[in-house]
Formats: sequence, structure tokens, C-alpha cells
Amino acid sequence: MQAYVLRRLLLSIPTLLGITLLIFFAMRVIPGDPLAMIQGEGANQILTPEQVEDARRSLGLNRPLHEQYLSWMSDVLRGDLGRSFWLNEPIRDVIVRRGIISGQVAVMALLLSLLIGVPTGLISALRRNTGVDYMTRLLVIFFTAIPPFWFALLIVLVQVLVFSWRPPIIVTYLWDDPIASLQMTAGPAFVLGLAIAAVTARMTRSTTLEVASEDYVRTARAKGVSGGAVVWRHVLRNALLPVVTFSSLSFGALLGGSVAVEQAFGVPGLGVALVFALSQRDWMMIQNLVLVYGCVFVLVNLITDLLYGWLDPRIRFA
Amino acid sequence: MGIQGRMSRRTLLAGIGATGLMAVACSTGSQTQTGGTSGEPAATAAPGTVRAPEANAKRGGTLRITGPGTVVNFDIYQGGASPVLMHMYSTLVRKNPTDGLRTVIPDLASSWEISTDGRTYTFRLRDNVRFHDGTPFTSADVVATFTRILTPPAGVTILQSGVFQIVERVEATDPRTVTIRLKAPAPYFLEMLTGGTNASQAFPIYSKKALDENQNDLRRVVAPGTGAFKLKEHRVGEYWVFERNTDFWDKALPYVDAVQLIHVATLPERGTAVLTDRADMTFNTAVDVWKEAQGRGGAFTAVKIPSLSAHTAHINNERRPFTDVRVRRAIFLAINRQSLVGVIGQTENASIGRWMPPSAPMSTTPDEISRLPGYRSEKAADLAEARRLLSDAGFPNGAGLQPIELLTSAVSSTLTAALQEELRQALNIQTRIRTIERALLTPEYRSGSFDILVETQFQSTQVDPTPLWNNFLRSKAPANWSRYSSAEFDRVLDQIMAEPDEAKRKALFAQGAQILDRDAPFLTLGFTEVGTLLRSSVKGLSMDKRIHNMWAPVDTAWLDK
Repeated sequence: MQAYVLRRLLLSIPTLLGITLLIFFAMRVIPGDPLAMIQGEGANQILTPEQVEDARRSLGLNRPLHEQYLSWMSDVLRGDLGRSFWLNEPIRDVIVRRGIISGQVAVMALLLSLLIGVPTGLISALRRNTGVDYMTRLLVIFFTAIPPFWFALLIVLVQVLVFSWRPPIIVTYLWDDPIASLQMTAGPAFVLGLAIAAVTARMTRSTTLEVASEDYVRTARAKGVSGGAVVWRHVLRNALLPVVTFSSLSFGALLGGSVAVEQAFGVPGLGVALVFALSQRDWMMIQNLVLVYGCVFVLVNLITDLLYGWLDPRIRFA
Repeated sequence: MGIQGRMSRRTLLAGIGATGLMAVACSTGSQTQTGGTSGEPAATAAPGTVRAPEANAKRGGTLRITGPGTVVNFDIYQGGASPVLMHMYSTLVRKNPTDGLRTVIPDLASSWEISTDGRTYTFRLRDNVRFHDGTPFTSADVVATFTRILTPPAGVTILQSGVFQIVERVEATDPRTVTIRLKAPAPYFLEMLTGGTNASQAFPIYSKKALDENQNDLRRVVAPGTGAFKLKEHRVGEYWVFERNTDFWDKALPYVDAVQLIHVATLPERGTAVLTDRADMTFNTAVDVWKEAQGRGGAFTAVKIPSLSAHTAHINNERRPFTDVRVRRAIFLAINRQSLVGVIGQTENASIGRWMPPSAPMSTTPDEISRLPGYRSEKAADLAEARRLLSDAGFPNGAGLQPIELLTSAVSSTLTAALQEELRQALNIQTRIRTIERALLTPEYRSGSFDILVETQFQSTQVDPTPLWNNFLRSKAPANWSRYSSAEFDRVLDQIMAEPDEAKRKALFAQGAQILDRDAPFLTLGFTEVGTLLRSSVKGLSMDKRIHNMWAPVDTAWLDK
């Protein structure tokens, strides 16, 4: 087991290196750099060519590409992710500060999706072709089809226009003020959680139906095992394997991909930071955020594989 | 109420000449502190001071403002966000917040005089002013601040250097007197020193000590200011808290105990925070939210404030067919500005202007503009003339014209599409739109590799349009993106620069505008206005009177809670 984990971690090194190379050179190929935005801000901030060259030199943008890349890698290995050009803040601090918010939203959304999606899918499968099943499938299709950002905007509009209420706009962490923190993250977590729950329910239903028709389930029933025990021990555990994969990958995507929903609710998460950095050509921020996302996905994949082994002992790590 | 003070005749005359139509209220008398010991602000202001216009102003509370709260660095002269940082700094002179920012009033300078040739400004500095770290303020601080602009040390890039090129030298006559000598008269100089809108170009006075200690580079340190508020707390990317400076020279200010500036990136969210009482005010919110607040009546104050910026279509005067003034003039006459302003109005408030912000005192009045060819809503005569000009230029009904490229960014894509349709319908001019990222427009501007570029590149930081014209319209000016060149216009601009008489200046501006209408170097499609929103409990800022946007300071604000 330990050897397997170690081997997987070692294998992730070339993956992460590949990511760093891709993002580094992609940013250099795309036209524009951080200074382009300074000049684009307005006529009163137009720099002379000499000033631009000075600024470029001070940022190290005039050095050969391989030197810039090696310098970045060297900093990363030392744990120094540099500073955001536009936020004037160490990138490590941005990631920690905003990552906590995104992480909280992601965890809440994932928990919600599992709490709603798995039972719903299970009930739908067990009550196949009944009124409950039809209603459940209708809701699943509805929440799969509805764009999360639109749903988010709808909720915000109702909050503002009907209740004249919005959650706190200053970032509050769970340990500072749990209620305020939950108020802030509940909206995006609810919207994202419902969207994932819909897919989870659909997946749970189909895999449950598939597993329920397996020989070993029929055998268990024939042996006189109670219905609940059959479902719990034999059906659900096996049906959850693809759900685990989906939920794990969703978690990774939630950390960085919920930009539109974060934006709609005004929650300053990592996704919003990445989009802002992209629009402002904040190279160091983009590079390091993408690297962090790469690490998160590698880690999530590893945890998913380990969960597989726990859920299905037939899978061996050796 | 606002500013009250005595003026010497010489100062008055010079001041009026110096600031255009803006009245100059400056005090030559000694400063008298006001403000009661009972905790209630004084109802009247002493000479050289400013007070909230309401007689019943209360003290206390925290003013919560939503807006942009990120800074590239902490040095305002090197790109540090002045709308954020100017809450804690002072300038030599400032705009009067109680009369809608129409007059220049004393700030760190208690009075000033302008020489008869309009080139020498002598500022008398206030006594008993201290920086937030306790260092006394003297003329050496002013000299150090302005000298750094004139001769930036290696590695320091001063964004204000360009406009400050009109300054020849800055000298300290004594610890309380500073003399600034200009290379040539510049009647807008005083207004320039106020920082105008404070949007991108402020002139705060830094302490010499801070500059010396940091090798003239304040990007990494929050240097102490002399303003009514000082920095208490800053959580990067989230908020700033500026608390009352108890050592402020004017003991009556500020009224509130603190200003909390909350970083909210999106315009709608800034306004909804006000609607839902998460904030007290925002300087700029989205049109929809602004209208919602306006519809709610007395609970909110929703005002439109000119931003001194315009949506423009920069026509490349050096590219065919725009080398022919008849083609440019035809487009100028043919487009329907009312329709285009309507398109802009979907996302932000806007109004039709000529060649300067409509709120500029020397601007053509809206009524006059509405009757001018090219600007009027009745298009029949303009269209006929436009088609004739195009035909005379060799392109009857647009025939023979190669497809013209409309370059833009996503920000202006809807407006560009509307302009495309205008050109097609009015003159049968075929165009194709190329949309690129906004960050990449500047290289295009610089290289001149465009036919028509639609963006918001015609903006001023002050209501006097002289710098705007110098920057965007003078031959070979740094932001003359249209590559317009007219010796006649340059001569008028030279006269505007040298002319101290207000009435004559206004006439010269009118003459310049006529030349521009005739030559049509580019198109102004609509001057924007920011949608400012306040809860009705916020007082003291006279927002409804403001002729331009200004984000800081807010030292006269008070909360009626």
C-alpha cells in the first residue's frame, strides 16, 4: 500500500512538470503581458517605451525564457510562489486565503450532492417506474439542465429584490464566525451541490439498477438476506464505485471551476482569482494557480484510487 | 456653507484665471480651528476650512464603501490605486466637496499666489500639520515629492511625469513656502494639483523622511500621510479600514470615526451591498441596480456623476480612406449619436457630448449641442450632406470602399456592432469587426495598425479640457491615437494654454471645437456617468451637485443614524 502511494506520488512529478511547462510557455505565446494592462488602463497612465522597458526589466521579463522558467521552478521548490502583480500580495497568501473559501464551498457542495444525490438515485432505482421515480427523474433532468450561474443569479435576485438581504460581503472564516461564514458560502454551495447532486442521482440510479440485476444480488435474496441488507451490503457499495470517481473529480473541478457561481454570489474564491489574473495577464498568479490545481487533481485522483480499494477489496494496489 | 475666506484682489484675479470658470476660494488669512468641544460639529467654517453643508452634522460611526480595493503597489505615483489610498493623503489644494467639486480650495497650502505672467505659483503652507507618524510637515516634503516627479531616480517610474512636464522647477523659499515655476502658463495647473477625479492621477504629498528611508520607492510601504484618516487595517484583496486621524490639523474633521473600504470587484455587487445594508455607499454600480435603488425612493440617494470619460471611435487619420477629411466628416455627420448613447445606456449611464466632458464649464451646452450638425437627432440634412461628401471623395453610396475594420474589445463589442449597423445603413459602408482582449489594444493604438478603434480612450482627470486636448488632439501628442494633425488646431490650443482670461478661453475652446467638428479626427460616441448610490443616512458629500467623479477624500461625510 505504502509502496503504491509512493509510486503514484513519484509518477505525478512528470505530470506536474508537464503542467508547469505548458502553462509557462502558453502564457508567453499569448500576446500581452502585465505591463500591457497598465498601459491599457487609461490615457493618463501611458508609459513611454523607456518606462516600459524599465518596468519589464524590474519584473525580470527581459530575461531569456529558460532563465525565467528555471527561476520560477527554483522559487516554487523553495516554497516561494512570488507576488501577484495586480494584488500586490504574496501568491501563497492569496491561495491560502481564497483556497479556504473555495475549499469550504467545494466541501459543502460535495456533501450536499452526496446527501441528496445518492438517496434520491437509490430510491428512484428501487421504486423504478413508479410515480416517485418519474418525479425524481424530472427533477434530476431539471437540475442537470439548468445552468448553475443562472440559478445563482436567480437566487441573488430573490435575496435582493424580495428580502433585501445579502450574506456578509467581507470574507469571514468558519473559526471567526461560523454563522456568517456559512451564510457566505451556503449560496454557491447550494447551487453547485444541486447541480452535482442531479448527476450523482442519475448515476446512482443507473448503476443501482445494473448491480441489482447481478447474480450475487439474486443469490443473496435467495439465501433470505433482508431487503435492506441486500441493498446496503451488496448493491449500494458496488453501485457507488463510479459515483466516487465522479464526486472526486467534481471536487477538483469545484475548487477552481466554479467561477461563474462564485462571481454571481460575490464570493472571492480561487476561481475568480484565476479569471482576474488571466484578464490582467498576471503571469505569476496564473502559473502558480494552475500548478496548485494540478497538485489538487493529482492528490484527488490518488485519494479516489485508495477509496476504490476500500470499497472494492478485489482491487489490489500491488 | 462650504468654504469661507478672505481673498486678496491679486489672488482672486490670478486664481480665476488659473482655474478657468472654476471659482477659487482660497484664504490668505490665518487658519482658525473650528469645531466644538461638545462633540457637535460647528455649523460654520473658518477661513480655509471645509465643513459638511448640513448644520446638524453628527459625529461617529463607520462609513462603509464598496468599490475597487486592490492596489498594484502603495506608491500612488507609481500606479498605486489613488481611489483607495487617497483617503489618507492630502494635496496642496483640493476640490470643494460641498459645492459639487466646482472650486479649488486650500488643503495643505493655506493660500497661494500666482504671478502676473501665470508661471510662478507661490504656496503658503499650513502650520501644525503632522504626518501620521508624527513627523512635522514642511516645504521640504513638497519639494521632495515634486522633485521625484521631475527627476525620477533609476528604477522609479512616475506615471505623473508626463503631465508634470509643464513644471520647470520646485523650490522651498522657507519652511512654510513653496514656489513652483512653470515652463509656460498653464491655467489648469491648480486643478491638476487637486488630482481631479483622483481616478488615476493624484498628487499627494509624501514625507521627505519616508522617501529618503525608502530610496524614493514607496511601492512596498504604506507611507504616512497627512489626511483626515490614517490606515488602521488592511486585509489584502478584501478591505481597508481608515480610522480618524486624531492629530489632523482641522480638529473638526472628519465626522465619522472610520471609513471601511470594502473590495467588491463587480459593479452590480457593489450596489446590491448598499441596497441590502451591507454598505453605506458605492461610487459606481451597475445601471440596473442603480435604477432599482432609484425606484425605492427615499431610502437611497441615486445620482449620476460625470466620469469625464467618453466612448470613442478612433479613426486612423493616416490610413486610406480616412486621410480624406471628407470621409471622416461624412461618418461624423451620419452616425446617430442618440441611438448609440442608447446602446451604451444598456450598461452604463451616458450622455452626448462634443469634444469635452459635458460638465466642463467651457463645454457647449446640451441645448446647443442638440442643434449642431452631427449631434442633432434630426438626421435628414446631415445624412444628405454626409452622402454628398462621401460621393465627392470618390465613394458614391459607399461604392469603391474597401471593407473597413472595426477593432474593439469585449467591453465595447455591443457598441461596435451598433456602429457597424449605423455605417451600413447611413452610408452603405461595409465593415468587419475584430475583437481582441482589452489589454492588447494599447499596442494597436501605438502602432496605428487599425482603421477604426472603438473603446473608451478619451478620458480626463479634470474638468478643464486643456490637458485632454493636449494629450489626445495635439499633433504628435502621446495619446493622439487618431494621428490627427492640424496646425490650425494646435495654434488655438497654444492660445488656450497662454490665455488667462476666462471669457476668452471659453471662446477659444468653442473655436477649437468647431475645427474638430469640421476635421472629425475621431468620434465621441457618448460621455459616461457613474451611477453613484448612497443610503439616505450618508450626508455631507453633496453628491447630487458633483460635476465629476472623485473617490477620495470623504472627510466631510457623516452618518445620520
